[in-house]
Amino acid sequence: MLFNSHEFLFVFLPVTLAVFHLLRRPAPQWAIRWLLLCSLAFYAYWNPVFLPLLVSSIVVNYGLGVWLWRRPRKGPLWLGIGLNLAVLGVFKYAHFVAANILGEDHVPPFIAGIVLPLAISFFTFQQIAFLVDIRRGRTAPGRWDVYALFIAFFPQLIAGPIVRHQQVESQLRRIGDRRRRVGPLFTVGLVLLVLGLAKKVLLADSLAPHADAVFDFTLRGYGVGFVDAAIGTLAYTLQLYFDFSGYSDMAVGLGMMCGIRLPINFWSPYKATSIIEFWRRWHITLSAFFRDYLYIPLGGSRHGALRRYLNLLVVMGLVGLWHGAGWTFVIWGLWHGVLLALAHGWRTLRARGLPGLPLQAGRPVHGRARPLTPAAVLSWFLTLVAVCAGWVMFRAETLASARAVLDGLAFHKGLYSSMALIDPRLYWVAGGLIAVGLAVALALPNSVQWVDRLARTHGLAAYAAPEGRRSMQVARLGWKFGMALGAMAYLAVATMSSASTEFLYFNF
Amino acid sequence: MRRTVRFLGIMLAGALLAHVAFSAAVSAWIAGTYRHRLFNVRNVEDATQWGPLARLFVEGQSLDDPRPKILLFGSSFTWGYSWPEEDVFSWHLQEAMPEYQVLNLAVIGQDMSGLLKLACDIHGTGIKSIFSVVEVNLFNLRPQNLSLDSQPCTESSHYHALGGLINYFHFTISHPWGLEYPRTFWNEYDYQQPERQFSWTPLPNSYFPDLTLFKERQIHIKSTIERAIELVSTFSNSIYLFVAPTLQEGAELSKYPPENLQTIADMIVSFCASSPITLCLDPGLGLPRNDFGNLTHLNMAGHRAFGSWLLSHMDRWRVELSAQ
Repeated sequence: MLFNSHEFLFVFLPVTLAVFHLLRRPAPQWAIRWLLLCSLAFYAYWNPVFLPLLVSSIVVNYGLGVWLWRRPRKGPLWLGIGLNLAVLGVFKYAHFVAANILGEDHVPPFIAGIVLPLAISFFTFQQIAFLVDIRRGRTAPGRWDVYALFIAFFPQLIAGPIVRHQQVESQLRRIGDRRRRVGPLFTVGLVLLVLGLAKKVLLADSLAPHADAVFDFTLRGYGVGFVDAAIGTLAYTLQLYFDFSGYSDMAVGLGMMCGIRLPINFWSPYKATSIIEFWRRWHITLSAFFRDYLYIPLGGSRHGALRRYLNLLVVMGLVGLWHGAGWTFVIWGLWHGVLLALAHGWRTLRARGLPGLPLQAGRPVHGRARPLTPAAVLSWFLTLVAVCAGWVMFRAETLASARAVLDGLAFHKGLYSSMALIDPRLYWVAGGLIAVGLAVALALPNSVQWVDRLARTHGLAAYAAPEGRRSMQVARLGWKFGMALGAMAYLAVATMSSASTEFLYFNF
Repeated sequence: MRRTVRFLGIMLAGALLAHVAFSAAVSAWIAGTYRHRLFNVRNVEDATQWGPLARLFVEGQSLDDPRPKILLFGSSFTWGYSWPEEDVFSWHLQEAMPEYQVLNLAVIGQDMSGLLKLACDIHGTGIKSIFSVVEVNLFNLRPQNLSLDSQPCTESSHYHALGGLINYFHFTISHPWGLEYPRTFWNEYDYQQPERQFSWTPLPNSYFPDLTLFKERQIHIKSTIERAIELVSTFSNSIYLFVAPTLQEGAELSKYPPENLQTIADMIVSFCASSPITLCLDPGLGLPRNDFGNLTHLNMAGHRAFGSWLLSHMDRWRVELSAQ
């Protein structure tokens, strides 16, 4: 079931929330079990065949967690990590490995027929983090139903945010607490849900056909001129952001409607002025996962510059592989690894006080907006160009297709040598949509900033921005905002196709 | 809690206001568009929504016109992409036969399964036509989507339940009443631009019909064409079925063997020939380049010539039928 589908918004969600809030105070334990049941049904709606996989993964990991809690040794931890990675490896990477060793045409049918279960990358990582956190003494297994809901909780089950056990376990345990005011949280969550839905339906889905047209054109073996390449790249850059951040907003909003605060996943990533900052703003929970459970255990920056850069390359290569079993993803990850290594190197040079180095490289952003100096603008532009070039690899289905688009961006095929969008007028449409998308992504506050003021007016603590960034406090809980939000909700729901388009991150 | 409920109420009011304003604007636009334009529901992905639109169009157009009807079914070729209504062959048929009312029900991108659904919806209106013209476009046939099961026509729930609140909301909140509508009516704007230049570019082979696939699925194609004829014959006395022409040079430019197109067209005509009330026509690959705007679409001169060609066959056939 998709968040942007009529059956979810008008049947599943109202029923789930109504029963949950009826049970929440008189029988909190049953409220949790109800949410668990609904979450499993939500998962099974896609393909019930994989429900046993999810359930058995939860059962096995919970059992390992309890074992690890009682006897904190490395054995159960490595067993758990090994089992989780093995499951992920079989379902996600077996075909890729076999195709690379035997050739695509000689992959055995039993491997070629493997279907990637929805959300496997997300629930596997959450369970690995759970086991590691138990070993580190940061969390305890707790109740089985709370653990199962932590994994299967429908707002975040399919595509994150990647949640740590300790982040939601205490919230779930206190779900029936009479002192908690759920009404305001519900309202703020609803606002985020609508904003996320609008991002997905009105922006991402409108941009998608133009990005697809260009990349499909190159997939058929044609080269593209600069205009086509730029439209394809920018359209996909914005589509991916609005799609995934829209999904994340909806997930956080839905969590709040259930009384649970999930971590935010995006903070205006395309406003970043360095690649380091970009990764602090893009898919924040994934970056934090790889930082805490891979980069730091590998040694992080503690063993000299060379080792640090090597660690960055390894981690980012695996980030790429996590996104998909394909060389384009690996190259995309390595590209970001190289950029991160360069940015850290640049920062080191700046710290040593070398003169004449104007570009920024990941200076932390605290509080107010950074002054718009030429150096900041140049840093932002170079960062955005590097990110966009990376998305070409990310989107392209083959290396040849990626190369065709990159060739186009490099003017190797001239300015207008192709017409991937077929109809000349579509270029104006695509250009207009890209302009609107850039304005929303770059000039407007992000969704969390919009709801922060709303949260404050409701007497809730502001939704903490990462690394102490303060919000711009823009939204007021007034009739104008409510009416505008209602109109936005209507347009989004009315525009939703009866066959809703999937979120891009469902594929990862 | 009270503030939350109040805020929800405001949101609901905003949504209803947007619904009323948007629906009114779109409805006015549609009404204006359909007043003098052809039926077209391009980009409406869900074919079940064609039903209400097709019915509204046919009934709206024929309400005050007692003349016998001639219905045209087809894809962008018959729709006349992208020329003004008066430059499409359907208009020339109308001029040649003023005693009839010609209604062009072509849908851009129409495939055979879409045609079957549309024919069902027209069957549901109870309107009778003196004859129907059915275009089979090799580029839209999509044999892989055809089935051997002949589904019976079902009543369009959208249409019959328009008075019912649930169906009303189902219809209005899904396609095509959202922001998709501007895209749906994109082609209506196209009318404003008769000067549009087509481009002569080679196309990849994937644009062309796959002969192997057509041969593999010929039993499905045969069954579907027979089903289409059967359906259309429920409201038409006779049927003219033609294979939409393709420019031979365009296929050659794309390095696609033109003889494949001819083989497939022959296959279609042979499947259609068993029906006694159907005249099966294939204009072939020999039409002059000057009649084409691009590979599969005629220009204004081409539509004029095609209209005359079709009329000559109709006259001849009518003479033959009357002689029998």
